[in-house]
Amino acid sequence: MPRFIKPKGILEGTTSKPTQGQDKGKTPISQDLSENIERIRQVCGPDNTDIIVREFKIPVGRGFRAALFFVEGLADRQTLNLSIIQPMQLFSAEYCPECENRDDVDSRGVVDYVVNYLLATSQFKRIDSFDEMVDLVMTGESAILIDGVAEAIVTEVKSWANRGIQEPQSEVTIRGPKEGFSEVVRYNTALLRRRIRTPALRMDPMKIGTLSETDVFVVYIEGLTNKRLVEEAKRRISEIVIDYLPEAGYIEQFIEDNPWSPFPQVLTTERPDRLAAALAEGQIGILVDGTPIALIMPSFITDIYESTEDYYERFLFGSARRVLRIGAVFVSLLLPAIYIALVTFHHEMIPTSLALAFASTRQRVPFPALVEAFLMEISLELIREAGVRLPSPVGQTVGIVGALLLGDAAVQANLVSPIMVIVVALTALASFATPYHSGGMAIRLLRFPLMLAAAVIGLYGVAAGVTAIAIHLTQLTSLGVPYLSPFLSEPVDYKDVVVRAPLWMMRFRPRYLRPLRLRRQVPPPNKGKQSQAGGDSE
Amino acid sequence: MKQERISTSQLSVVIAITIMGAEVQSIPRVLASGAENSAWISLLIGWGIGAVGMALFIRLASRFPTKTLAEYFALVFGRWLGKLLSLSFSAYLIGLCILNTRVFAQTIAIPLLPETPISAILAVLVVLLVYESHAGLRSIAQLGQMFIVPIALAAVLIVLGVVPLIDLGRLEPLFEPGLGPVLSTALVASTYVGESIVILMLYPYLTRKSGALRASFIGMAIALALLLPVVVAVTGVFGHERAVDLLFPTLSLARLISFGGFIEHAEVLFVILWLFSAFLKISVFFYAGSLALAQSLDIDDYRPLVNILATIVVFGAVLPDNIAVVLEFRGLLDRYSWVYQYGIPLLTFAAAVALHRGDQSEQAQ
Repeated sequence: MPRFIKPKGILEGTTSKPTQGQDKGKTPISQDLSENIERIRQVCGPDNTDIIVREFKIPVGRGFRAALFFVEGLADRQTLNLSIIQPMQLFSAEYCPECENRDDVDSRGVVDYVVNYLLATSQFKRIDSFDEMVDLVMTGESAILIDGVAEAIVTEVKSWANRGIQEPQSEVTIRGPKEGFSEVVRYNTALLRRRIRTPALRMDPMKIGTLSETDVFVVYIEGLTNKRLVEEAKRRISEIVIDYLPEAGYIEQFIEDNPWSPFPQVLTTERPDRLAAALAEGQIGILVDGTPIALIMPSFITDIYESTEDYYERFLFGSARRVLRIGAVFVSLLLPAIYIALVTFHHEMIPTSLALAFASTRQRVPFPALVEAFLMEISLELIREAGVRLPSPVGQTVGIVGALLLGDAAVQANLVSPIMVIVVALTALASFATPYHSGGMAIRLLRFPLMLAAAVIGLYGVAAGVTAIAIHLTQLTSLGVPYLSPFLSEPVDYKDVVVRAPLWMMRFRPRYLRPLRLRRQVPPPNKGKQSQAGGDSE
Repeated sequence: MKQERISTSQLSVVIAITIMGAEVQSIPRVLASGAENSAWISLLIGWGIGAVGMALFIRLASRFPTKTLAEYFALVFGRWLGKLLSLSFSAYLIGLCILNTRVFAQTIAIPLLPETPISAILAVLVVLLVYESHAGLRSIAQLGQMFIVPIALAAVLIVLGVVPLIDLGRLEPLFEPGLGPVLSTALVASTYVGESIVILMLYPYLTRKSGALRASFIGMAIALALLLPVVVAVTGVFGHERAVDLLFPTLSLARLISFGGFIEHAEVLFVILWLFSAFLKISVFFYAGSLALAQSLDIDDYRPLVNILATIVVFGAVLPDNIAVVLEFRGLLDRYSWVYQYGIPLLTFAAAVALHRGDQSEQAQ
């Protein structure tokens, strides 16, 4: 009979050290290959099967014992076999013009010989620190150790498992590129570099996480992005001391200006084109390895309703859809609250015939409007939450079943009035129309206190709530830039706030970002006299 | 502490809202009671007087570009008299704040929440007021920039909504009550502009002081552009005899609006929109009043005073038994507050000139 193992007691006697991480000494690489291999086994654990030390010989000079040190799965096997091991073992017997006698190569010249004649990889580094070598190998590079040489040749052979570049899942657009960021940060930087080819595009590397040593890149355009933004972002990131950095959200939460605000002060995007557009306007980006999402700072309130498609569509449609979405934000924030206020306090505002209809449907419902609204809103949020967790075909079914059946049955059972179902459904629809997920969540959350205020003191409560939100927004900053800048900066940047002006009218970058170069378009030389192609005669 | 600054266009908005507040609801009655059907003429003349007053404010403020009125009272009049004057100025601002708060609560209570006790309305207001004051001047100015749009929309919509009902014949003949009453009512109208004496507390925080006069005039013009059509519409629709009897004539005007028999009782909507403007006016006075008090007590930051003053405002606002008392007091203020509004700055200015205080030497500091 298996005995129950008490979980208590296993960890007794071991204590956690208060300090973070371990001290990194500057151990040099030893001349003796066996000693190096022994130390690798010791550092990486003797039983770790994914850490490979492959020993071989380089048949040059007196013949050198060598070892290739890499992590299986992170380093590309093909490259290792064909570009590193094969040349060393086989081609070292080939002709060498510089060496009169190849057999003269001694332990001092062997590294030069290997690098110059044998190693068929595009990048390499010569390193004499043992710890640095191990760190690099852990990121997917490979190290060649040669007996009698106190150096390691580290070559770039990273090629780890990934899902490749796929379509963005959460920011679907009809027009525009279909590439999305992926987990491999190098792909993401490449996607970005492909869009912004100027060498002024800077990606300043940082490492965060004492255990994970995650690569973080602060991306900006030199000579365009305001220096102070870059410095401030780097300062904030560099102050993060944490063991493990699983997702870019950690960075977001550590560096945001006001952690208590419901509004997201960092814009996240899956789309390289959006990041590139933001960089071109003077914002900065943060790429984190392992996260298929880029962070954009500073972020503004307009980010909640703006979509890249606004700019790809012709300006009339782009503007119209943006105005629609702004309306949707207000509907999603205020509609349930206003409905509650109207049916609880201000019946007289509803037209008489409608008021009678409201009253007759509400007559059979035993709850006050607030309870009714909370019931429906919370079930809606539940349906939404359940839909996210389930696999996508099932998720859709749950959505339809939940919405149709639950709503209908609730009405049949006199739990809620049909009008409330309409209100809640409209609200849900409106909240799905907000393109930025985190921004939409802020709106969804703020809806509930407003509903409460409406139930207590009617429209006055709603107005007070809106005022409180407005006061909060005036104080909010993102990376030190006021959150409401697009609306309140001077001169007002009216061309890209509520409507989106034609592209040829937006000649300047947003002033509130204080870019170092303001002009982004040069007007055509014959302004106003553009000849129209095709006969415009009647 | 880093001092917040406001721009000239923010100043315009603050001035416009300080002049309007919720007064847009009662101004037609006040003017009609004095100038009868020539209320709009009084309004225009009042604005003329106000413009002179405004020029005086700016002239005085530019003598002491880095100091508020509460600070340079002491420079001009000596320590004790100066302190006394700045305390009185603070009391004046807080008093205005209390009055406006009570009127605000009443305007909410009558059309929106007839059964809710006024203290509940005040409680919500005071929480917002404290929050806003902690947020500071820049936040108030930005809020003004945001809310000026719905406030202006309310005034425009109300007038457009009753255009078919306006009978311009009611405005004739011009100057019916005679020149005397029109002019004395104009003085009353100018006290609304005179309330922007609060600019003397804000001037040092302007980013560009050279544009202050222009910005204040723009603010006055905005307020006039929104008030004048309302005054004309009230006289045109109700006639001055009925307008005098209405507590909030503009609200009654809004009640008449109906679009195709579907939207009725739209006045609630307008009350909500005015609520923003009234709240902003109160918070401007409250901010300036607490700043003046802090400076006359030589306290660096006004924020510790906010909670105490907010309590005073609430108790002051609950004090009057009914709206009649409030209106009586308001009438008194309308008639005589110009003495304080223009007298104090004029006196200070004259004294400063005579004693050679301020001016260039002050700017150099």
